[in-house]
Amino acid sequence: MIEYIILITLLLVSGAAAIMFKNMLYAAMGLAVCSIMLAFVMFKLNAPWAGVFELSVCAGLITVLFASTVSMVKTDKKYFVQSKMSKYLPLAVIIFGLILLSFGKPFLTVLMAEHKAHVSQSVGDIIWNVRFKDLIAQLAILVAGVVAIKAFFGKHSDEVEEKK
Amino acid sequence: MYYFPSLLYPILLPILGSLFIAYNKKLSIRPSVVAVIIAALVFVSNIYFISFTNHGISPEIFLPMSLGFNFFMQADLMSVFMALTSSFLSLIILIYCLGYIKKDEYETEFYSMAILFLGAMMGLVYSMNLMWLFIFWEITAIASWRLVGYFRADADTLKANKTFLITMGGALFLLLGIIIILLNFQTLDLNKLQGQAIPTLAVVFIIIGAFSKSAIFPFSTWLPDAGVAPSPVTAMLHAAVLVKIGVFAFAKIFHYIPLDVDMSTLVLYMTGISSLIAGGAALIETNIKRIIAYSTISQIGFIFLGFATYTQIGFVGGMLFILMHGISKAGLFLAAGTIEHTAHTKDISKMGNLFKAIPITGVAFGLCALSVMGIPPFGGFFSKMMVIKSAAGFGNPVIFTIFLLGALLTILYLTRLFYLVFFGSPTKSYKETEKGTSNWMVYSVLTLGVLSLISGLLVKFPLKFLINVF
Amino acid sequence: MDLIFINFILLPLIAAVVTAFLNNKSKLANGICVAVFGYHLLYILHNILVAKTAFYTGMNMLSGIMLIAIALVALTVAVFSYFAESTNRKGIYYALMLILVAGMNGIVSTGDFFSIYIFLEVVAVASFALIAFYNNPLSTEGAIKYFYLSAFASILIILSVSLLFVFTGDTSFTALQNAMTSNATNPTALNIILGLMVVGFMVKTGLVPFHTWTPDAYQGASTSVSAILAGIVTKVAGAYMLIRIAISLGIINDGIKTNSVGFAIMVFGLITILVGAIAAMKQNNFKRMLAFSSVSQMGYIALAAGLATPLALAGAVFHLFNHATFKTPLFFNARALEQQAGSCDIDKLKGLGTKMPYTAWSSIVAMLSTAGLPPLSGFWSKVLIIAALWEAGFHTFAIVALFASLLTLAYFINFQRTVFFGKVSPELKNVKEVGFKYLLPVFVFVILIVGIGLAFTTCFETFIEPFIRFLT
Repeated sequence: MIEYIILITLLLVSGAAAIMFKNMLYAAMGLAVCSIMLAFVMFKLNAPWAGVFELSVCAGLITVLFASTVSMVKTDKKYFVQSKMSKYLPLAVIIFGLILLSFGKPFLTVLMAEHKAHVSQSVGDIIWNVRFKDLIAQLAILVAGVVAIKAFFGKHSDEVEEKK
Repeated sequence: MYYFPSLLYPILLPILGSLFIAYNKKLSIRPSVVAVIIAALVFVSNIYFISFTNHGISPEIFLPMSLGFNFFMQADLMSVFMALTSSFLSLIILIYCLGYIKKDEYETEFYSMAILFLGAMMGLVYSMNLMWLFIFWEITAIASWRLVGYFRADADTLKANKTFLITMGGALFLLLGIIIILLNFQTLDLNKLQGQAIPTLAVVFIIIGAFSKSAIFPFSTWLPDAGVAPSPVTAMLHAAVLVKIGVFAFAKIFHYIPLDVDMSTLVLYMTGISSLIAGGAALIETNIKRIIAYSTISQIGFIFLGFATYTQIGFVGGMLFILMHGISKAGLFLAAGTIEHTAHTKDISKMGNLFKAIPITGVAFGLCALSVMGIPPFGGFFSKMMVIKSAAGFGNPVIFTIFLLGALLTILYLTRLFYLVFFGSPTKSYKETEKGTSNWMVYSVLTLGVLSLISGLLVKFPLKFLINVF
Repeated sequence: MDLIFINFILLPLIAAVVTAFLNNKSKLANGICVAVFGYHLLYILHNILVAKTAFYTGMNMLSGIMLIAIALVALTVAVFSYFAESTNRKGIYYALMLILVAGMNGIVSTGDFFSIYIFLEVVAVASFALIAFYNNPLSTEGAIKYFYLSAFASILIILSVSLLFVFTGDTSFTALQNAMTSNATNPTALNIILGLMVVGFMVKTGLVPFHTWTPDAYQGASTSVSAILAGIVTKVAGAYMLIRIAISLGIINDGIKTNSVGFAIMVFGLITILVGAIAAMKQNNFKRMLAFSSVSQMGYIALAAGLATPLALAGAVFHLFNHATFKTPLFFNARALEQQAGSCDIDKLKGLGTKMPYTAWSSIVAMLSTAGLPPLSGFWSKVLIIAALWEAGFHTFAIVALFASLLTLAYFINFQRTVFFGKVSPELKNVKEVGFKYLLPVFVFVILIVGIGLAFTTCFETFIEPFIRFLT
């Protein structure tokens, strides 16, 4: 039990830090630490596949991508806006946690009682046979993301004359 | 009973005709001419049904549709009489418009909406299914919204919006009543609902809907405000046709589903009080169109009196009142248009001595006013006598006194109006004279005035027609 | 893989990949887009009306109706944006639209919550990109607000889906329904799952108090994008899912409305109707007013969905379709006003009724239909909803919902009073009507509104009856 509390606290702290850091490289590191903690939690909950995916994709691939992007970006101080959020976010998280623990106890006990999810097939079988359409849908998300990026960051020759 | 396609003519011809008029500019036909032709055709097709109803046959169309919204139209005696009255008055008013509406940019929309209004009125009068009654009811509301705001100034459109909102509010009560009936009985056909026990809540809602459309106090605030409309619009809407919708629907629905005595007494009290208040307001108001509007509110109370007392003489008197009041009040409003055209003001304290300037209109105004007051041998006398007799037959002395007072007030404010406009301030003079006013305007008003007199002399014809209804 | 998946999801995706490279050939890109959507519309109409496949009853009929609505709105918006949008990145624009439609088709044609979640993300990504397409401050602000609230909604939805999986071992609709009918699962847990899911979808629909992204997103996006957003995206992503959940609620309750989740949806729906209408009266910008009006009408759909009797569900689905037909042409009219008169602010546009007659009259038809006036289609869906509410005994709800039509009418005729019904202001003397190509998509909807209004019972028997017969 105590390991869960440590892991989840570290997860929340590093997640909050990832939002609040002004230096983008530190923020990417915060995200990496957060996902590593999450991967540990998953391993403890007997979900090795999920933990492996989490580590390799989020802590690994995405952090590498972020770090390389950040290194290519010129970080100018004037782009950082000091918002109230950076001061009050930890306070908000703590208050929300307290509210959840005090009022949500009965709901949480109900939720933690059941464990009916016993899947009989292997992971590969599920992904390729049962959930094939979802794979296509994820392909659709990929396509959507690529096209969206092209939309946001493509050459804006019509930025000057906009007929909005 | 059987499928009678020519019943569709008076309904579809104007509705499709209004679409046709909307494109008249492209075809370079005068929209006013087309409108008059359509109105005349509608009137003629209504006359055609008399030959059937005289033999006791009611032509009908019945197209069953799901959920109880059957398209059920029937030309029974009551509907044919009402249709004849409305289409005839609309025809005269449209002829008046030939002279009144100048050839400006809103002309096409005016005639298009006027004919749409006529078509919706015909649909409403002939429908025997409550949902289709409501549909045509709302179409008249849409058409009158556009017609009231004709002059497009800020104040006009504001009043047009107010009219639309208040009548829509009343219509929503009516809709709720209809929904309650549908949920309880799974049908909305009036002949199937005959004699059933309708929940009181539904009855109250329907009555509120009828009151709001027919401008009974306290739902009457929209009627005097709608005087910003052009005079023919006010004549058509607020004298001849639109306000009669509520009271006609009341008559038709509660002919098939009779009210119990307590409810009719309540209705009579409310309409009686409305008559008195409106009569009092007419006595102190100075805007000519508002005075005539208050007079309308007051007279509608009498029509409700005829219908809510549930006697034969009351019913016949009520229907006759619709005809007589329609003729005379339309005449008064159209004459008011000519008066405004001559005197360039609506304030009667600024008018006077108009009889020298517009004698023919003055005579017509006087004839119509005498009919509204209920002086024999004008038509209005017979109808007023019959409804008051019905009130006596009902047995409630308070109601009888209220309406008698209402009749007295009518005489008072109309005499005041006539005197102040035509004979007061003998030194005023006007540049415009009758010779300068369009012939269409003058002679259509004169026609209505003469009709007020003739209808009284020939009252036995509509009476014979109506006796068969009850 | 079944035909619907190939035709409605794979085809637009492949077309999107192709179109993304056609920035220079905007006509070809537009042609591909229009062809795909036209094909969708014809396919589904053919299957329902002509071939009368028995497949389309019950839930499948609901999917069919939604597919028709999606294809119709997407087709008209695609045609309209060819003329209305001026950008030389048309290829990307149409690619985004195709992806959006593929995602929406996925949502309505699948029976599994997890798939819905993924397609929801597809729709979300495509919508952000479309809202922020022109990269000006207003649109970016709208996109960011949508992004934050949409992310919050997605979190709630995936949380509830995973809880559903934990408790029942499966994430399909039937799993949820079985869990609700049998007593195997803890009812508190079920309420938590349903509550989280419903809140997530309420954010996506734009119900109060989660509606705050709607006005900024609709005002900031360019008008064709607002048209498709208001016209179909919020409905598919949110209102449709509420109706689906409500069907399960209705089945377990056998028409007895004692479920607290259903009642909560009804209360939120009622509040939304009133707040949306009152806020719309105070707006000065036409597009913002339309946004609040959409929020208000979504309230009607939620109100009917929460009630979950067959008549109420019929009203909700019908109102959903009707709202697509009357909101989309209003946004097209807004574009016409922007283009010809230069502004969407109500106090700057005075008396354009005679200058732009077709725009004026089509907006009158659409607005009166929204307010629920006969003989237009909006009247019938309102009657169904009010009748269902009264029949179920919720008299106060019925009366408030009915008289909220007055509020709707009030803000619309207030708009009409200034913009189309008044006298022309001198600066606007030279305004002319928009070209026919802008008006054609509007006329399609006007004909639909009037046609469905007049032929209501036929539409009811063809489309709605097969749907609710399955439920009774």
